[in-house]
Amino acid sequence: MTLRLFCTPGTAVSAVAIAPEEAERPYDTVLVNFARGQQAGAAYARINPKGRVPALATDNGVLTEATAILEFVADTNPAALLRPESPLAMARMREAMSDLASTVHVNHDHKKRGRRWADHPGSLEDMTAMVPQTMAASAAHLQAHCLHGPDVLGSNFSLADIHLFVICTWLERDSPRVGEFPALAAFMARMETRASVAAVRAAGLLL
Amino acid sequence: MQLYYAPGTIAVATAIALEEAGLDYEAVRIDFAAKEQAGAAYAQINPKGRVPALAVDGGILTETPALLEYIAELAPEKRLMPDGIIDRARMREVISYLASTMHVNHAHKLRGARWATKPASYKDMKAKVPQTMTASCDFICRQGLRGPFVLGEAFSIADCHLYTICTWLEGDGVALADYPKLQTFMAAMEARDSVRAVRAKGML
Ligand SMILES: N[C@@H](CCC(=O)N[C@@H](CS)C(=O)NCC(=O)O)C(=O)O
Ligand SMILES: N[C@@H](CCC(=O)N[C@@H](CS)C(=O)NCC(=O)O)C(=O)O
Repeated sequence: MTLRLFCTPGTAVSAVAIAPEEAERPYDTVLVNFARGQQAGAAYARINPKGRVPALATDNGVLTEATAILEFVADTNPAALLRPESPLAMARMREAMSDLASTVHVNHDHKKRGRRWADHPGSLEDMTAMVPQTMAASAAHLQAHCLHGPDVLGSNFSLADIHLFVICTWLERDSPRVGEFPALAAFMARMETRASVAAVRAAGLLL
Repeated sequence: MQLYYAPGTIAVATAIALEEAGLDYEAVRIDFAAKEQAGAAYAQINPKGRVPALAVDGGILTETPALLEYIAELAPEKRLMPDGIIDRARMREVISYLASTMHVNHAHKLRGARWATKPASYKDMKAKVPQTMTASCDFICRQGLRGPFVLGEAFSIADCHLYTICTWLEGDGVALADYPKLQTFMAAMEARDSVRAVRAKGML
């Protein structure tokens, strides 16, 4: 099966490419240019009508949503052991990923995408101004409750580490207090030593 | 198992899944009117101050998408998830959209203080909810719901999630009557024993 990942450098979720790298699974990338508004254009609407990245084109159609794409890579590459075995550990992994997608990512989006939820310039400014605070709270939560050791699952690499890594690449830009989270900083440094992350960085998908 | 819930919240999705799976659980009600979810006692259960939380052997789990899959895995004979990898991916795609986009759109009605500080901003957010929830319904009807259930004829945990969010639509200023496909879906859900049981327990 050929895999084609539609992504945008610097949008952290595009780094879901780390998953096929971990699985040593070849894939192509197609860059969606946000500066030119390509994500909202008619051509990309045929790929992902939600107008977002990432999207993964497979032989069986296009998949969207970072969590679904990550799980798909794990399902199609079982030998890569990207998920734990026990149901409880699996639920912990998914708990972290849902938290990242539905709370932390959403907090971040209030910096520049406030127009999704409000119209007046004053509201948009108000939202943007609160982002350092919400992202610092998110970082504190992730460090205290999402990291169960050096990795999300303790000392067992999983999809949740990929997701946490990609979301945390924003923290430094969103919150001036990121230095206060040494366990998260150590997690990020460890991730940077993985060949998968180096490959995605070399491909220019991380800023 | 203990399910921490408040009536009418997203915790209902987990309750429906537990009923579908035929698993025993104790429903523990958290009093939102008294802000119990934000209190020190509940912070011991879920430091995020939200429902659902599910106490299981080995710990306390949160996040609807994680709980739904956990429950489906506990009762494989109930076939609450599809076997095929692509169908599973489609199911997870819908669940992720519901949790990270549609539920979040709804939350801007009453929970604006999560993301802004000024009353004028809350008002602005609240006013836009009918529009964002309409956009979400349009999207779900075009791309998320094959009909009658999310994955077509086969019921799955994604249906528990979609049903619960759709119970909010009238309150969010969206008329279900404008979406016949969603109406058919909701009627099919109301007819299920699981939804009836959850309703009888006063969780809806
Ligand atoms: N729930 C989706 C969210 C995807 C998302 O919001 N992607 C952002 C980039 S990080 C995007 O494409 N934004 C483009 C826009 O809003 O125009 C996921 O987790 O994959
Ligand atoms: N991502 C979580 C969200 C949970 C959530 O936001 N629950 C709401 C009820 S629908 C809540 O507990 N709100 C209480 C509050 O904000 O104080 C999930 O899908 O389970």
